[in-house]
Amino acid sequence: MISSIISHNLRSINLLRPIRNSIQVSVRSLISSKTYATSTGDNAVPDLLSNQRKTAKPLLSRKTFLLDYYKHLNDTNEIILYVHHNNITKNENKKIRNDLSKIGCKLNVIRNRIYGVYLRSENEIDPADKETSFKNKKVNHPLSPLLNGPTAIITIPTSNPQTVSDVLKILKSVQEKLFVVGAKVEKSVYDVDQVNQYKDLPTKEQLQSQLTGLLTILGGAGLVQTLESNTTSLYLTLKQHEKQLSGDDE
Amino acid sequence: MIIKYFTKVTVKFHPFTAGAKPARLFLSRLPSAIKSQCVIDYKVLSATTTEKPIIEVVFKDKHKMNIDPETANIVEVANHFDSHSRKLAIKDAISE
Repeated sequence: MISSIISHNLRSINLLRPIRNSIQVSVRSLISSKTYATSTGDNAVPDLLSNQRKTAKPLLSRKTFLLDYYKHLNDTNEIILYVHHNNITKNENKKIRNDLSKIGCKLNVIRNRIYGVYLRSENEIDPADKETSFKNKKVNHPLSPLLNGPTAIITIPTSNPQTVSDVLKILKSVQEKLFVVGAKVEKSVYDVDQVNQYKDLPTKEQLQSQLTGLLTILGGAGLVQTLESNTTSLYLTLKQHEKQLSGDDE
Repeated sequence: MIIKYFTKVTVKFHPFTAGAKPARLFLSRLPSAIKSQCVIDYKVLSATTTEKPIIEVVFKDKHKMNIDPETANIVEVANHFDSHSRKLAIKDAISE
């Protein structure tokens, strides 16, 4: 029994190693892409495996790893759907994950408490840091009520309503075993109604092209004039005032 | 929780309130094997809906019981439904 647990743990550590390395690489590339003025100061993004990190839990523990992983998932995905999962059988689990990966999404069953710790220090550089997590202990994140009971997240890399509607179709096939309870779309928190409205929207590119089309049509009909009118009147008033002042001097 | 005598379960809850916890835990206590004899109905409410959060169970003898998840925790919910399940269990034992 004990030996099987140990061998299982060893195996899981070996399995996790490539993921951990890939996260480290992505964080490193993030650091190099942004120029931090005070890279030697406290604001520097720490190397995930460096001894400099003062993490609340041991550096190589699963808890620290999961926290880093949740941060990675949230940083690299624009939409996160929070779903409730209910006694999914092995076959269903396999099928759902397969279907989701076909449209570029991923299902992750999360540990509520650890995800909660991440959410509290969402905007910090290192949420696993001991002082940071202590400092943010009383922060109430709007998403934290969703972390009750069995929860999983579905990560969608780009905010595209079509992908969301595809995901919802997959979820519909398993009914009460997996359903959406909330979502984070870019920076905002959505409830179920808002997710359903969002999935029917046209894509961002379409909306942008519609707006530019609208602006070019209106441009001829005085939109430019309307936008300019305030600055023009200010300019004229100041000019008038200047004239008066110069008149007084003479 | 005794789930042997359930024939229909309806769960409605607001996911962003405290009432979500007992409701979601209640749902997770129903194993997939129960599906052949029990209909599981759920609804996730949002801020715009006027429906009230509720957990409702219909038993084998058509008795209906409900509880508001906003006011109870999962242990209280389980005890609430067990009170009738136990009566049915005793009846079963006597008839055997």
